[in-house]
Amino acid sequence: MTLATPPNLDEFEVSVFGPGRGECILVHLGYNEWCMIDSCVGRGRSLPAAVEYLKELGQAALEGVLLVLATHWHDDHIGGIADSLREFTNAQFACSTALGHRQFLTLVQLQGKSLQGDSGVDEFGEILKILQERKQQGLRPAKVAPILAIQDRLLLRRSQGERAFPAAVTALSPSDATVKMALRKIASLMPRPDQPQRRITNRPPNEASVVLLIEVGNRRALFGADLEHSGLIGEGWLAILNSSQTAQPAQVFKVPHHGSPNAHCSDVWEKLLEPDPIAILTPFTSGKGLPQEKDLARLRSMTSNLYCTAQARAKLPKRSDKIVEKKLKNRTRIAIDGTLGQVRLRWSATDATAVPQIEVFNGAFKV
Amino acid sequence: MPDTSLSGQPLKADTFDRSFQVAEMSNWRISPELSAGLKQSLSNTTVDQERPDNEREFLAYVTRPIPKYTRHKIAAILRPRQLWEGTVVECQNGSFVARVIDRTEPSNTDELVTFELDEVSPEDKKLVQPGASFYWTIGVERSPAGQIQNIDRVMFRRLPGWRASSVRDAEREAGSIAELLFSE
Repeated sequence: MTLATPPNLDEFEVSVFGPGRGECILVHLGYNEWCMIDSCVGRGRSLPAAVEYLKELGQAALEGVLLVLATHWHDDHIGGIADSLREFTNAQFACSTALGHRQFLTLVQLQGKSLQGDSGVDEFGEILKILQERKQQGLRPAKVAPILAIQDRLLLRRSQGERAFPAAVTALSPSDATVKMALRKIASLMPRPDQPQRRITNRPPNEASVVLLIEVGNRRALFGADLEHSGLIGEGWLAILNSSQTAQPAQVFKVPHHGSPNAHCSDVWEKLLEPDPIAILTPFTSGKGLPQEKDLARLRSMTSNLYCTAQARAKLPKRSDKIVEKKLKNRTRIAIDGTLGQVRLRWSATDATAVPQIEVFNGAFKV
Repeated sequence: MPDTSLSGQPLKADTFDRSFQVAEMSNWRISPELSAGLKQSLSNTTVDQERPDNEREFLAYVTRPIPKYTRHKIAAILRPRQLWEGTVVECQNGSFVARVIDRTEPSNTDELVTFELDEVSPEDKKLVQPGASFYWTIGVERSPAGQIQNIDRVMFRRLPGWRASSVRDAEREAGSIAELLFSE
């Protein structure tokens, strides 16, 4: 099977791309209907990874994207998400309830007036422009208005009457408590008059991330975004575990927050996932880098099916100018964007005895 | 009256700059031998107005003379070998970490680089805050007197402050968007 072979109509697919500028997950819900979670653009590439991949699969795949979801607004998750939404003309946009609040919209508008661009907030500014254009083109309001995700909200459903097997996309977070906390943090980002213009950098709230459960026929996948485990009731992973919603355990897990220990919760593995699930993670190549070796050891103790889209450490580029290279030798430097790899899982959504097919591309690997 | 070289011969337009430098050197009372050597070496050099690709052309470019009619207006000439645009991510004790984007070769990966606060000029130090933007240059600077110096410089951008009216406008626009997109 090549990269450009489209999935069968009854096949569940999860493709995870990263790191690039952002990270991205594409899910095939069956019958050529797709959902995109976050977005990334490979270094030196003009198109988002999901758009490139779906173009390889064919025009029908591009038109089959029904939902584009931003789990949160950080740059390392939504690079190129506005360009993707522009390409996916049939897709509705979804984001955390916290980001539909007027305070965040004000921040987005203010950032649009800034001389400092290129942050995740700018991507949201572009998305709002696209949605306004669609509204002016006369699209039905229900197709244009963003879907605001909050704990236990169903974002998309395909029932069994419409097709041979059902599909559903459900938000498991953020909880009410974390939305309030996120709004306080967003308020703290609002500039005061006379304060010098600055770029809005990636800072919390990670706790307002949207965690998704996607069910397609017999298959269930849990996508952890950057949700952290604070250990406090009503926040982070504990809010999901204590929810009244009783979902069946998932067979596929997108590991939260790049395998960071601050997002690890043993109960998630025990209660929300089947034993020995297929776990996929994307590295975070900034700072000390994630996952660290001890993080991989911890994750390996949870599953024997662990996949990673790229190495956590990217290579520093070499400069041809010798004097520049000499000057750089004395600097502490870390390359941020590595090679954009892809882990692709395909699994029959209807045949309970079928085994999953997992492929790795462009430097992705089984841990 | 046409410009003339040291030898009194009329100058061609394309050799004006090179001869000017030699004349400038002569005013510094360097030896006639060195002056002649410089004149010889510079007359063999091509001065390219585009950013040169190799080391020889680069040096020729940065050492090119300043035309007489602009010399008095220029404080110094900076020729970057490498330019980054940076954003402060984190401030630490005596240092800061920034994400830098390669503006010389945009296909290169972004990097996180640690800078010492002492590398920043005293008047810029108060600007070092998360989100602040700067340019980082490694290159060659030529002083008005003609001295050549390798430099590794961090210069913070002085962006205007937010006006109260901008904040009010943003709030009004956010209200319109909320009404348009989120009210139904």
